[in-house]
Amino acid sequence: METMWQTQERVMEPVVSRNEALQAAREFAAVLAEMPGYQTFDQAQLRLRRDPAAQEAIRVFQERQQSLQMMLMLGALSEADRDNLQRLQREMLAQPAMQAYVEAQEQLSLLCREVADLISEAIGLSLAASCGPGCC
Amino acid sequence: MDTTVEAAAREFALKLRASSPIAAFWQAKARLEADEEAQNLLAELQERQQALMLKQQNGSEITQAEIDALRRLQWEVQSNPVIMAYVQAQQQAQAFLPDVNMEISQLLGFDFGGLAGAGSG
Repeated sequence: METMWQTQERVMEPVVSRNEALQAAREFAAVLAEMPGYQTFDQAQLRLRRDPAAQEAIRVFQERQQSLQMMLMLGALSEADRDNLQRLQREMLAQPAMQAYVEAQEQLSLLCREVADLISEAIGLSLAASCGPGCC
Repeated sequence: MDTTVEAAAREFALKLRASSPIAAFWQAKARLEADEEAQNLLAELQERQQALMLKQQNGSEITQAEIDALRRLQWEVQSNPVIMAYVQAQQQAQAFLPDVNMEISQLLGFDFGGLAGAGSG
């Protein structure tokens, strides 16, 4: 005779295997890829990659940032170097292609958060919290 | 949120909820919530931890007997099969979510979970 828990487990037996759940994730991602917000981000990303002036501004800033990385970590950056780095960052962010990319990314981020919150509420676990930066 | 996206998100969420790691988590959670002994243990542990934290904040001395009592209680919690089954189920469910995020992110070309986390307050 089965126990109460065995009955409940039988009734609640999962109908979706891990692989089926991962397949469902891929299908869901395909729907997300049709979102206007995603399309805008994708196009902004492409535009940024193809913009020579924006790419040059990014390269110059990143090179300078990298060369000053140790001083930055030690909090020993000179005022002149700090001002120079901030100037290069402003010039990078002032590029129209970069502005469009940042705006598109912010909008997409809000959308992803909304979607992730909906999923997290349904499963009782945080999808975003389980996947920190550099997770993928 | 776009209605198509919302509907797709809800459908996906239901499948994810029914998937083996997540369903197992919910089953373990239900068992834990229904187990009086486990609930009493956890409540007692929380109460004792809070009491000691308050003593510490007030600058009062915590006795060795109090520390020993806390450790005994922690051992009892770690020895409780219902509690540990829940802990294990939660860990396994959470370990599955990066795989889910990977599938979504690979198709989209960016870290979905990471971007969703960045969008929070």
